[in-house]
Amino acid sequence: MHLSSVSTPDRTPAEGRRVKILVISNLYPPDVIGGYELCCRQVVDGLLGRGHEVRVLTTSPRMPCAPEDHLARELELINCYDPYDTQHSRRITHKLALARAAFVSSHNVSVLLDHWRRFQPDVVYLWNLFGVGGLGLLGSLEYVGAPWVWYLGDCVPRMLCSLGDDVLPELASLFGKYARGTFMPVSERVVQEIEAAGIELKGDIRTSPNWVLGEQPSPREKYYRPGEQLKIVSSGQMGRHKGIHLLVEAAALLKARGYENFNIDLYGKVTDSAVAPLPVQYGVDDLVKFKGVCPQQELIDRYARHEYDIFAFPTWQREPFGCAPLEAAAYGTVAVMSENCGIGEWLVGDVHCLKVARTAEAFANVLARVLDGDIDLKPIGRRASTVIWRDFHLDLLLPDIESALTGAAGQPTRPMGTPEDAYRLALLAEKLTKAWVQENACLAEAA
Amino acid sequence: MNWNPVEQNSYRGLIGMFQRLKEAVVRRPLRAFKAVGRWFERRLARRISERYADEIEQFAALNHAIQELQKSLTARLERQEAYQWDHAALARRLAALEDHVNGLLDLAALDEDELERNVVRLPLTETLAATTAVGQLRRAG
Repeated sequence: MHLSSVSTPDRTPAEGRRVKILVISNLYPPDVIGGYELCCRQVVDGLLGRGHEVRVLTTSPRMPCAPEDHLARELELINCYDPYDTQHSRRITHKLALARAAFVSSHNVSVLLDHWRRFQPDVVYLWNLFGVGGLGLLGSLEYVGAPWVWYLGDCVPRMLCSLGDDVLPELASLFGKYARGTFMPVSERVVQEIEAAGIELKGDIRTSPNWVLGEQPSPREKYYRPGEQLKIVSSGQMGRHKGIHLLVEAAALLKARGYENFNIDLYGKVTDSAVAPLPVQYGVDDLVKFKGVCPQQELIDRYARHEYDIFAFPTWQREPFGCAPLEAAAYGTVAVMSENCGIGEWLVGDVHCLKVARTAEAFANVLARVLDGDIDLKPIGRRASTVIWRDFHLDLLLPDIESALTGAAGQPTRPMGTPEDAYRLALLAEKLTKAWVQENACLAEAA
Repeated sequence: MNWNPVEQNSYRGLIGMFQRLKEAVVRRPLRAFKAVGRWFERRLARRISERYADEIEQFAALNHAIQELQKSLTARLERQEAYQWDHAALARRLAALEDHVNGLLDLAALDEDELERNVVRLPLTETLAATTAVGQLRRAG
């Protein structure tokens, strides 16, 4: 790296609304955990399509993939997502990895500053920064005076100010003091969750939903009628936090009440080994099936072919948004969701979706009402589909994203120092973090 | 110590004798005393239980009621929170509809202008955002 030749870039937006955007994301397709990374690629493609100059800085891929001109897979991922590492590494090793993942990685700061110097972006567009030493990256951007916009598809600032589950109040306070930019959370509850941890989001906050892509299909004609087979689907991570156990339990309750004209297909990676044997344990393995991982497009094609009537989403309360039910509902698959999840802020219960308490009993009750014909899926499905294609399409939301990016790019910023100093500080911070974690571990052992 | 085998056997025998003596003199009576103590303890506990049975049952019932109340309050709070989010969704939908209506009204106004001035509308103006922007520009003169 040649930091000595670094110059402060000219941040005037190029050619009117056309700007140079440096996107930073911990993962980028084909590496996917959930909707966060998929959304990142969709927005990047959208921005490229609208004539912006975009460079994506992300981590080296988890699987071989073809290089792309606008992609720099040069960051190092400090893997805190791998359950094997989490369960089998020693406590101190895991703590050190967590600290690097959240706080600072000097290697990643160095890569970022190098790209900042060479690409000279007008604005930096941040995505999920956990696993790349996000706090260090943000600090470096603040230090060199880079304007940024942060898409918050989860409570990432909170994750970056925590070591494991514990939020560090000092870091939370410093974050509030120094991190000034444009935040684009996907729901109000994301902001609430971050602020509940004592982290103040200073700057412009523009709440904006997730989206769907593609062409609007012709309205779905065939909906479920009593007596037919009710086809239920759910997709995402197969774990208890997504409420998969509740769905299996609800199936068992329905079976006990004499309903057997339904089936539940579950798509996604089983991340929680406790849920895999549940259908057999509850005696509903004939009704509930784990279908494994299914590519996003294939799943959308299934919705488009109207293979399913209901998308069940018994997810946890802290679900920031939930792209999967939105995609399903766009094709007339009615979403039945837990009443307090993020997407519930955007769709009205009994109008565009069905909202229920997050219990197996409540899910069983609503499904029974559908099976009995007490709830007609057609008006709900049609309304949701119309609204989603009209107001939740990326083409409609992209101007807002562009406006946030160009707005941030046009704001004058004052650099606190040079990139060389930022890198020196990152090195120092990394060493201090390591010493602090180790000392704390020693103190804990001694106690 | 350099003891011969006979001395060693005698020593072991002596130790064994003392252990048996200790067992007979100390441990057996001690066990008996402990058993008596436990018997008194159980009797006392029974008496206390009988005496305070009503109060204990009341406290248990109270504890159960508090737990039930906590559950129902939590459920109620969650329902209220869900209602609040549903209200937020409703407000957002209303805002989106208002925008659409405003856009349509702007479009209607633009169509009237077109009739008067014979303006050829570009395909770009078909989009809502563009229509609104053109409308605003017109109003601004």
